[in-house]
Amino acid sequence: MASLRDIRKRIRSVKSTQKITRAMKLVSASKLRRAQQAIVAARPYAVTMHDMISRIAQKSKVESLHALLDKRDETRRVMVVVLTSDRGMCGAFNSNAIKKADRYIAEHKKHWEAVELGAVGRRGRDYFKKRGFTIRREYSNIYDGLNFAVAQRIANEIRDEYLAKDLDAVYFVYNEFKSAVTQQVVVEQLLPIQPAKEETAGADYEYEPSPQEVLNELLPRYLATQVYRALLESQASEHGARMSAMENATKNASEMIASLTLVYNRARQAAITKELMEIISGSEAQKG
Amino acid sequence: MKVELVTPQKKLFAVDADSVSFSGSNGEMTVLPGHIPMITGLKPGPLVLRREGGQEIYAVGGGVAQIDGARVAILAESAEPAGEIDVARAEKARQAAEQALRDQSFYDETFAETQAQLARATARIDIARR
Repeated sequence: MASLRDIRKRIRSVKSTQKITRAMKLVSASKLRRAQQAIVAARPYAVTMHDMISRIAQKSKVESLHALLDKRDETRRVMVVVLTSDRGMCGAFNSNAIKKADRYIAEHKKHWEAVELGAVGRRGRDYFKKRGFTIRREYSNIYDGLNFAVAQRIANEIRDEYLAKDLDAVYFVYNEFKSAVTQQVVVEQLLPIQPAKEETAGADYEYEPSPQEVLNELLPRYLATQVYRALLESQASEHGARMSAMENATKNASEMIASLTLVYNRARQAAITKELMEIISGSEAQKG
Repeated sequence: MKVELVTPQKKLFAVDADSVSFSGSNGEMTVLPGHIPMITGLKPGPLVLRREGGQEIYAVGGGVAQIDGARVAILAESAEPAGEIDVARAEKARQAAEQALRDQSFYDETFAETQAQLARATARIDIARR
């Protein structure tokens, strides 16, 4: 049986771990709040842009209007971009995204000639690198001070490779933020852009100078908006996942402390009883 | 007429206004209530919002604007009120862009982007000095 001192030491160490997990939970909670605000703030821009593109798409056969909309006859070279975090301690957040990407690649590989990986976040990069995938693009440490310019830089690099026909299609795999405790991994086609041809109400628009020119302005920004949204969703999901993981850890630590304290008290009682017995039997022996 | 100015990171305003002017793809334009429905490109430059007898000036980056008779939605890459422009920073950005333009040729991939940066910085300086 472990000595009293050992048990005391265990309790102390669990307590200090609990302090850390509790602090991490609080930090994640406040980061989550900020990430959620960023998602809400980005919405009006994305919604209006989406509406404009649907309008143009509805009006004319857009596929021929812009290279970014043009679906290639053969999809040969594909990049799958996986969004993970740079740090761990966030439950199944990273492994969910990685597993989904892995499965998606396995299912579709036969239609593609070559598949390469894009990795946002160190976790995904490390995983796929270890398994011998080619990492075509990697972006680490982008979540601190994440803004639209970061998304734009990523979008532009991907766009240039697509336009140069180094890539025929680009997919994004990321955790979509549902609530603080639930995330859902989704696969989205980033390129070629698929405009939703939904019915849009309202007047027939004039395009200045032309629908083509407006698309030229619109589409690269739309792409950046898509990337930005994915980054924000993933960021909020990460903080949500870490918050619940740390909450569980804190709870588990409490349970552990309770059971260790029980063991400790029992051991202390046993030691006292043993000492008493020794004293009593000693004095009994002297009487005799 | 409702006018909205939105960037990817926030909505700057959504207010009732008498008119709004900005640089469209085909040059400076002013939108009044009842304007025909139109979608146009937006160039970096000043945006002037007139309402309640006064006017407000913003510096906007490139983007697009969607206009119909009752609503104008302006999507700009960046936007800030004229009063908040950091002239020193804009000046530095302008010089950096000018230098970069001298160092690259018309055929460089980044040429258009650098040109846009220069236009943005110049516009911001002009607006701040008004």
